[in-house]
Amino acid sequence: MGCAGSKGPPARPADVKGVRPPAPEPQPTIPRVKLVLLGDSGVGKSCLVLRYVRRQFDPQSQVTVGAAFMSHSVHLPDGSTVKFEIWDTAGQERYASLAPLYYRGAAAAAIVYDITNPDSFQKAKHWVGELKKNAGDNIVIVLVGNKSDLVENRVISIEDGEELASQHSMLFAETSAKTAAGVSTVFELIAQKFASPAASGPAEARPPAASSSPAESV
Amino acid sequence: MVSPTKPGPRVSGDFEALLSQAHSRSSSEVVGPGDEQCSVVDASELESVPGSEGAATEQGPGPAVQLLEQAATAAEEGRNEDSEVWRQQRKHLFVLTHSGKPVYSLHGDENALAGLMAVMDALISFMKDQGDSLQSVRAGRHIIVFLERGPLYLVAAAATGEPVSVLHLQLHLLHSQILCILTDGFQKVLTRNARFDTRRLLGGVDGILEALHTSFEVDPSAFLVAFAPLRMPALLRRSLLLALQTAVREGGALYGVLLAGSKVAALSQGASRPLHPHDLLALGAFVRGSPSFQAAETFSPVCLPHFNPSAFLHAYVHYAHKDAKVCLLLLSTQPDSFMRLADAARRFRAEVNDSGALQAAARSGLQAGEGQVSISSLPALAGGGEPGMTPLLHFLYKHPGRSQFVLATWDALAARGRLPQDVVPHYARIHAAVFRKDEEFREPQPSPLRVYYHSTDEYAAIAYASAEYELYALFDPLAQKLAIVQICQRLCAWVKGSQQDLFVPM
Repeated sequence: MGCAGSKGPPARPADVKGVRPPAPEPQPTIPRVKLVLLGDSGVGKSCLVLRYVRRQFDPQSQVTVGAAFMSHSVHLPDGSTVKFEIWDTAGQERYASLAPLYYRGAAAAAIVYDITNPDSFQKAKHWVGELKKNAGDNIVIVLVGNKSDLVENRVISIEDGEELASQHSMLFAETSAKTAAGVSTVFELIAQKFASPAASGPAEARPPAASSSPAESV
Repeated sequence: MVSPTKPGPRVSGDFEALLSQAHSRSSSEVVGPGDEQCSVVDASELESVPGSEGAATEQGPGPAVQLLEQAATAAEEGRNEDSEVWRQQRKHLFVLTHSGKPVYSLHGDENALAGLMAVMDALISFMKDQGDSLQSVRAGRHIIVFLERGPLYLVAAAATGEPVSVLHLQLHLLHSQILCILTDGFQKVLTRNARFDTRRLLGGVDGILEALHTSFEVDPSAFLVAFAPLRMPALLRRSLLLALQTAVREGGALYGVLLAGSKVAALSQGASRPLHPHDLLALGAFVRGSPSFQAAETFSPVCLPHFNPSAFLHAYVHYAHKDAKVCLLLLSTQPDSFMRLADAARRFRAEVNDSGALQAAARSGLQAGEGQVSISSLPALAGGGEPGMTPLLHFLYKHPGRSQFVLATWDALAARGRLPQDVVPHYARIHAAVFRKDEEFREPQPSPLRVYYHSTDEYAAIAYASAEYELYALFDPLAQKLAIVQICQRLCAWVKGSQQDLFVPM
């Protein structure tokens, strides 16, 4: 397991007892953004998240089972902070029926495809359709073409990606989890949407267990 | 299902000959030398069986050449039955659908094995057409065992020396593991639509099925119907257990399990629905075979076939100690309970960190053999001593009341060049003999033997079975019977005296 060697408990750096529920903390209202990653299996969703959250890349990354949860705070240049609650879902077909569990109530979604794999682009289109239909109007969607380092094997051009994104008014970025190119851009693009007070509306979208954290509805 | 009352017909013969002849369809008989009861499978009949038309040699000359080339490449890469590496595997496990479509093969590539699977389908269908069912085939050193489950056929071919009853059980557990990943919903789809490709649903599960196979090789959980507890100080385990019970209550979970590698450190379960040891086995393989759980907190659907084969539970999975593979599982019926479970898990971690219980579990899990009982640490009268200084080579003790077992470390056997995978099948045979499961399909079940003794060049094997305990032990073949019996008595007394540390309280 290439991911070994990472130190300490993985998720939630502030892993000290019961930090979450009590609201009266120094920074009272950091917007929490529930972000869900969707896409075909093997496009590199987990690698993107691990590259961003832990600055690691594991070429032998293992297939995700279920959905992995990680949280991460982004500090934007303008001084504001956004806390991501990231659901990295498994791309396998058998989990497709569980996806609504994760995208329902999500403030943002990243639909990932592999620029060297046309099937994964088709799958991305499928996810766009499903989100447009079921996920509510306020969800911020970013389309991500991953593996941009594999230039020789590219099948899906930047233009194809941009076109799909603009058709459905999504954000667009190409990334390489391997070289880290463009990875933080994706998350910052989303974060900016939620950092400004004007966009606080969608940030109210809640994680699946809304009941357990009613205190955070800002 | 097959009718257990009538003994299944045995098609006997040399395994390789059986495969190659049936495959190439050049000869009309697959009869091996020296067998009592053989059915003759005629190649022309094979061809008439529906679902067997996938074999390579039936194509016209053009595509046939292509297919032969493909097969040759697959053989070179060890993916199909023509490869030497593939043939030399001690055990094969296959899953195919009623229509002969490959679903899974432990070794090689199920796509490259489509022809072989078609042959298996033909053999099974042939017997079914006769109103009978194919149970097992003995072929040289190999035993081939067949099991039908819903729209799936499961086949094991083993040269491990494990008895038919054990291989049969392993196929059953392989099926359970597939249910653990998918529930039985796909079987309804497959029954309705025979062309449905089950492999699409099983992407990325090879690791899980391989973890299950590994557990068959090195640990007796399957045939003992018991699980292996982690050995740790009783006081610290108590605080682990209390914290786990609190987490289960606060998280609204049904079950809480703390695994340390392949051992169970603590278990919290309702008295009304205790976890079946085979569900625990499936859960363990699911966790060990999914390395992605080590990367982050995960929420995953998982089905426990004994609990309910048609429904998913939702499991919160998190490694509390990565190096020692200490992994917390909280299982809930609620699909939206992640945050609640994660909060409960966080408090659990804080508590067991403070009490030192987590570190104790990790220490034990990191020891050689994950804290199994080392023979050198036993009292001398109970057979303790360094390898070569004591006639006791290995033992296995089952606590039937708690469905748990304790295993000795393997060092004395390793000193004699024996690996766990050589010894576990030996225990499987002893167990089958004691419980008289090897006389296939005999009913009603006779009561087990109280004492069993058997001596070979390699070991003297002894087994005691009672309602309170089962002891299976291997001794030096030159050891005196009286000494063996005395050591066994002391050993049982020692285990009873240490049971607070050895077993998980239920």
